Amino acid sequence: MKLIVRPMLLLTAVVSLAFMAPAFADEQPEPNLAADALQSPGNPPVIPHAVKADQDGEACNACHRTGLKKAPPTSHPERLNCTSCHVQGEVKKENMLKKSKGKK
Amino acid sequence: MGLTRRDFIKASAAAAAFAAVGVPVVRPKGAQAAEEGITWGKAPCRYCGVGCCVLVGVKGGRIVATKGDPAGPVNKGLNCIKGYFLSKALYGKDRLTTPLIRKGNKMVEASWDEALDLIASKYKEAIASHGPDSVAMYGSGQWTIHEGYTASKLMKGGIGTNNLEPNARLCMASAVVAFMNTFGSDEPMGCYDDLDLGDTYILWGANMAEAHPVLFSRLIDNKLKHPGVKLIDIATRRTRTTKMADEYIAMRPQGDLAAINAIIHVILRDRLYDEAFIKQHVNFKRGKENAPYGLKDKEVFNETPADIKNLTFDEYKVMMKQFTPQWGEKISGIPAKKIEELARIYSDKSRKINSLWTMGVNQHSRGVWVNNLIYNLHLLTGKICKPGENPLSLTGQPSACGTAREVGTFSHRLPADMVVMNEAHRKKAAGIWGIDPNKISSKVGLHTMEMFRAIDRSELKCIWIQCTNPFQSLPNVSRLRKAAEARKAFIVVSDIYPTKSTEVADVILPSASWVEKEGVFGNTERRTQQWFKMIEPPGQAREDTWQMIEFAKRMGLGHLFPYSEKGFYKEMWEEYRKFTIGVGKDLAPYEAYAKVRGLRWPVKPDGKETRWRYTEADDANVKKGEGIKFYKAPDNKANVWFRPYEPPAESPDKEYPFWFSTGRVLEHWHTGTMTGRVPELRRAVSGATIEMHPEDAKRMGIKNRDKVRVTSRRGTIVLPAEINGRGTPEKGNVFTTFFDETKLVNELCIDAFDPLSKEPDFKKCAVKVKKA
Ligand code: SF4
Repeated sequence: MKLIVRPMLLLTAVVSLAFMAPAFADEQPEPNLAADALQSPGNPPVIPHAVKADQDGEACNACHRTGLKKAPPTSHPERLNCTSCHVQGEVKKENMLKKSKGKK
Repeated sequence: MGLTRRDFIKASAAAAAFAAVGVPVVRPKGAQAAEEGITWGKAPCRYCGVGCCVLVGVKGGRIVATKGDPAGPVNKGLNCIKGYFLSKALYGKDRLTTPLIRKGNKMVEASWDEALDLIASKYKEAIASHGPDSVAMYGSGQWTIHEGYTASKLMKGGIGTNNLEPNARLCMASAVVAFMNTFGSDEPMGCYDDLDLGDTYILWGANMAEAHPVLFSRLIDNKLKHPGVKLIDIATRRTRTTKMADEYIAMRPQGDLAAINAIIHVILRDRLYDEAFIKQHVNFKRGKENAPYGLKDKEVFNETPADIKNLTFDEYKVMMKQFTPQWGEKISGIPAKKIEELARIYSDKSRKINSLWTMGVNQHSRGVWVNNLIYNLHLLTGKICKPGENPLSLTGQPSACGTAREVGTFSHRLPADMVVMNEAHRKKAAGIWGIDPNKISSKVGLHTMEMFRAIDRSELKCIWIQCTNPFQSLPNVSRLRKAAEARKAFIVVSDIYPTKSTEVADVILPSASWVEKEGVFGNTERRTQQWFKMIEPPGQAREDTWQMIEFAKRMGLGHLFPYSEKGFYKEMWEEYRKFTIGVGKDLAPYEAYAKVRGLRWPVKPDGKETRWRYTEADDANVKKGEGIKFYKAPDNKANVWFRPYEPPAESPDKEYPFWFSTGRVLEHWHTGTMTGRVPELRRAVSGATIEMHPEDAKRMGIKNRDKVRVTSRRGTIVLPAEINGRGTPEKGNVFTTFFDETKLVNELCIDAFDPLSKEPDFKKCAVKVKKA
């Protein structure tokens, strides 16, 4: 029996991959939630400087893509809806982005 | 430098090639050690209808971490900021921890027995002198399935009234009616996979980037990986969604009715439809027109079978001749050329088209009609029930689908698409509930607006509100607040924090929330997700199910809930599941849900989920060779409805020259009772503002953050102006958010509603704006 089940499972896995989504069944094993938790990057850091209300991802990436002006470079510059995960935190004075706004 | 967004998206496409939706994992050193001693559980997010999978870390009886679940198929590790700060929603300083009873103007601490005895005595008194229809319960799309099921059995099967409503009446009722009158079954044929697999997305008045952020990220991921993917945003306001869209098309409020009819006109005129699909799968119908707006109390409007006329395809074509693109332009403001273009996009055989919509379409005085018209587009072009090609109505609440719609906690519904007006349905429900079928009333109960108006008319004597905040969220709310403050009814409110609704309550009951209890939610894509209790609720707070069942015992209805203490959730589930088996809405046994991150119903006999309904490719109810079959509709055919343009209940005029619309922001959820207690979210967006078009503001001498008085025929309010902020309404429109409990913006909203769905229109009324 087991000999048959294995390739069958493999086949199921391949077929479901082809559909780009996992197939679920109640014969699934118990999940290992602690292991999954370790895989999660956890909460994204808050933004310690002022952000314009209509700021978009390109503006963030101007510094965060490469790490200009001591900005921590992002691991995911392709995600442009930055403020859907990174929330405005407490504004620290020295981080106020004075220079970039200096021209106005 | 100098890169346009499009260039950049192209350039980043390669970088975005990771399969998962989530960001790459960069683990700080020592992370594993920090997580020692934490027990992890899984749950869907508490907030929105996206239903992101979340891992909840508990240590010492407290939640110490929540994380986006990398194994969650909905979100692949991603959350939005509300999700990241989930645990803080439970740990606000002012959690309700003990029952409170009103003594004059004071709320006095009481025991559970005192509170429940009082509620039961009031309900008994009202029923004895005025009958069972003088009492009501008002619940929520945030109720767990077990809570909604308990409420339905208690009110419909026990007390014998259909005066049971969910707040989902305010958000999903129009979608429900259209699903029923088009396909014969509620909820979508497609699922979130369509966001990954399609190539053309047309948004009808939906700010997905803020209201469904993780789904929007999923859509944008598809776009990054496949540069051919097109996103078209049709709206009355430029938003964060607009920024990421390929095209923005400005539309006048209520313009959707005209624009879609004109698009259909072009599809018919130029024979862009799929004739074979239409022949096989579609009927044509005309409904009742010249409908009212629900502004008068006790107004009755129904579309009965006698009101519905069957049409031939040719008759339908003739009737649609009047809706030319020029006519469409005149009413919707969308240029005729664009309407022609949209017709070509919708019918382009090489494109996989998806329509997405939410409150812009549903909270609409003709919301059912607009839903119908969107389905018409997909049915006429045959672009439906195919992977990557579907219409999808996006839900707002975590279990509006699972609880309000599937359990059927509306005043006309029973579980699994059944209705109280149908004798066979009542018999089936009574059979499963083990009661006399005559106990379930055939009379449709009060819908939400009428329920609260009935308090003002002193016709409704008792109402129990759970898990929602109507005295902030209902339109024309001052009328309803005044009635409550005048103590015209006995009001019970179960919640976790003081709200604008507990403020007017006679009894306040402290509830357990989210992972303080066991539960099941059902999200937008038919995904049913279960979680276990992980922490104790604070103080004496208890589950809503416990509260209702303790009340039932005092009403002599304890026998309706014969479940054992240990097997409570499973036993109730298995009973509820009987409603769903064999009717195309099949749910799995309870244990199955404990192991997986949800299953999309109908769950097949082999335990597998269904991603696309009505198609032999995936739905076990369609036999091989049948292709697509709308098997829940009377003759296996879906309906294309003729739905003309009718104006909104109130439009701007000389005295009130602006359109007024309300909505949400990313950081806050609903009336802000939870997110308002999360310091990070409060800091990010601290209160309501009024967004204006810069030219309107300039003309009136209003600058950013100036105080502005906004007045409608129903109320007046002062808000700071927001100009060139997060969103910019089209000229002649203003927009505000409804989360801020210090600004009851719903006092301004008109209480007009869709005559078929009875869902209020929160998006359109007339106001004047003055510098304060
Ligand atoms: S998108 Fe909705 S479900 Fe997902 S984390 Fe945000 S609020 Fe929760």
